[in-house]
Amino acid sequence: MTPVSSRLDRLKTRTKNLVQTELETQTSLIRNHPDYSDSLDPFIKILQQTFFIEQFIEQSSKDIVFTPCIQAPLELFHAAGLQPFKLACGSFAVQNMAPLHLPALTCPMIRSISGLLEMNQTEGIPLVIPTTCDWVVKFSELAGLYEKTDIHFMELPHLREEERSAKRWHNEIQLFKTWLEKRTGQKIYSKNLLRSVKLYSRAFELHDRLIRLRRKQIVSGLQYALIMNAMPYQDIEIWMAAVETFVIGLQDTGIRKIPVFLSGSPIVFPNYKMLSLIENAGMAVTADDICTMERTLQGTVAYEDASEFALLKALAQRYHTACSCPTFADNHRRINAMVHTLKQYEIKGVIFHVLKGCHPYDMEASILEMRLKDQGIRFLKIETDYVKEDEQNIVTRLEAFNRTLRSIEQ
Amino acid sequence: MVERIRLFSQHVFFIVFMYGGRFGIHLGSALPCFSCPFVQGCAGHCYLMALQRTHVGFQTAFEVFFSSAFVHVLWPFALFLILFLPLSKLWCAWLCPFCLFQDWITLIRKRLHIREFSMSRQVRNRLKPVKYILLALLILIPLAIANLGLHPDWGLPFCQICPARPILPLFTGNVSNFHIDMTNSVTIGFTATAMILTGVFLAGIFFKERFFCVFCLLALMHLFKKLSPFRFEKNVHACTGCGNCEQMCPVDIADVHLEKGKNHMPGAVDVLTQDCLGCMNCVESCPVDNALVFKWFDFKIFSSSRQYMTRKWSSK
Repeated sequence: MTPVSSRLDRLKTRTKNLVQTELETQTSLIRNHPDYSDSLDPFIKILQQTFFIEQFIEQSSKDIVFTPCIQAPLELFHAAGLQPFKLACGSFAVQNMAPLHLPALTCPMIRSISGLLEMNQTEGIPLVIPTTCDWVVKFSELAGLYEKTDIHFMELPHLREEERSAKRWHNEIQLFKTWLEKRTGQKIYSKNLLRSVKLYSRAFELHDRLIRLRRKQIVSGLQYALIMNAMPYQDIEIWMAAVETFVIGLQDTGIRKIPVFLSGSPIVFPNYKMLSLIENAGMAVTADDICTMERTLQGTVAYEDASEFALLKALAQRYHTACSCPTFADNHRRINAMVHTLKQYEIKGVIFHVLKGCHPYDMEASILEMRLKDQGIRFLKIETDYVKEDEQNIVTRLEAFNRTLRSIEQ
Repeated sequence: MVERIRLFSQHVFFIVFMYGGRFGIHLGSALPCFSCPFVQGCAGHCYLMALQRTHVGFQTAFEVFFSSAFVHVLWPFALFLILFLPLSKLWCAWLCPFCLFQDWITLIRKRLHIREFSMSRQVRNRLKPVKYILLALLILIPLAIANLGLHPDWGLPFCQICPARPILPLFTGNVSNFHIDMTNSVTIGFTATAMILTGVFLAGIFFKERFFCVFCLLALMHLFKKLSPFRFEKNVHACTGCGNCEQMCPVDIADVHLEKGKNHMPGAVDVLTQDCLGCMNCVESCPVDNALVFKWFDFKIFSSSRQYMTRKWSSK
């Protein structure tokens, strides 16, 4: 009888090969895309490395910390001298390694993350979990991570506009800072934190330039997704340098498609199915509010003074009040932001992407649909997962949506 | 950029108000800012003093209120309105010398990297009536002197306890307002209260930006805001709710962020509140294009811009 460990090793090897094949296929698709330029190579390279965490750690100059959501301030990781590693995975192949006891309708991204952690040797790598959706809250337990690593939960208050929530979250940010200091054995001084805040403000300015180019369709949705997906795995200064190089080399092809706004569940490398299908249907994703794309860097941190208290307060506010994650209860302003962008850039349609099992976005879809239709904005909800079998069906719906938008324009 | 222009304006007007009188400038006795009459050689007087005085204020016999002599009381008030209405809240953060003094103290705290004291929304709301209580005393005490025989040493009750009275004359080398007047129990009471309040406010201003403004009686000029062409509007449906406006507001106004329950209203809503100083910090830190707008009639003075905000903070 074959020992369990040996069977597991064989499964790991087979999954790694499958993942490698999936990455090669997707990468070649991306590289053969007319929008592709060599200046995107650094982003693809780092995204490929994220699937082989042992090698990633070897090549990283800093210790890494896993985090699945965007509420743990990147500035604090930077000030602590740590590299955040965003636990977001778009691989279908890696799901082979996901624990069998996961519920049938598990969010595909959680399934992939669980598989990714299982496929790699990740014991001892600390994990920070902001308590956003139920899947994020429970996945560490489901994946059996409690015994394997140090987990720090950041209890996210689900009311954005209440003062009591702001106080609680400020306290959470302070606790997170203390936890980081314990991990590294070094105090995070306010001057270091200020330096990090300023650095990320410059990164946001660059990001803003990128967004403006995207709105004009000089940067495509696919290019933008690659750049933003890569950001939470790279040293911010290296990322900024790569983005600068990319922007310098940009050329306006002059081709303008029907612009659409993409909303909903995260879009993560290498699952760019939705982006490719939308483009194939003759539309361009010129704006989004997805947490792995435009919301990766949501805004500049505005602080009252350079004291530690004020900086942490500003960070807390930036990563809580300014965030429009659908897990918040008082999230009506998310629609404001969307409508404002739609009107400002004359975008007539919203495509809402829901991963099967991603309940918060699924729940928010109907609310959004009603509000947007009131404003005369066309809305299309697409529910899918990481498989490719439904692509033809989605394309048909997207083409019909494109025709509707074209008829409005005419 | 706007912050620098504001600082420049504050310094210019500080010099004008504090020392202008020495160069023949006299802007009258109805200024809607803390240009303290106790500063020798100042260019004009804060209207609050006129409001408490005899003949031009409430230290006037009742019969005068119903006679033609009442025009003497009305005239400074009319002048006050003429000065206040065109600039409205800009008098606070752009012109008021005492506001600039507070900013200097805050700057020292910031340089020392000392954290600011937090004041909850609840505490702020509870403090709001203090201004009205002070206004009532400012009117009732002079009336009582003129009509009920209250001792004249109760005169100018607000000026006697105002922290600007001992502090601002310091900039002309005058320290004489730091003392206890032992003449009688009233003067002892007033001067002792003034010294205590000065100490409390100096500490308060150090630990809380614009602490004095929370209690400033001149903020009540807000009651006439509808007559002013100065407007502060918010495009509610553009707001993403990031809360930067509240975070960066020196007096922590939440009503710009939360719009006092006006979020059901279409288009732009008025968000100019009593405590607003017109400093425009909120507009400078708002990341949404045209979500917040300061207007003079229909002309935009300054509106929020994502690009402006991003550039400001990335070049800090």
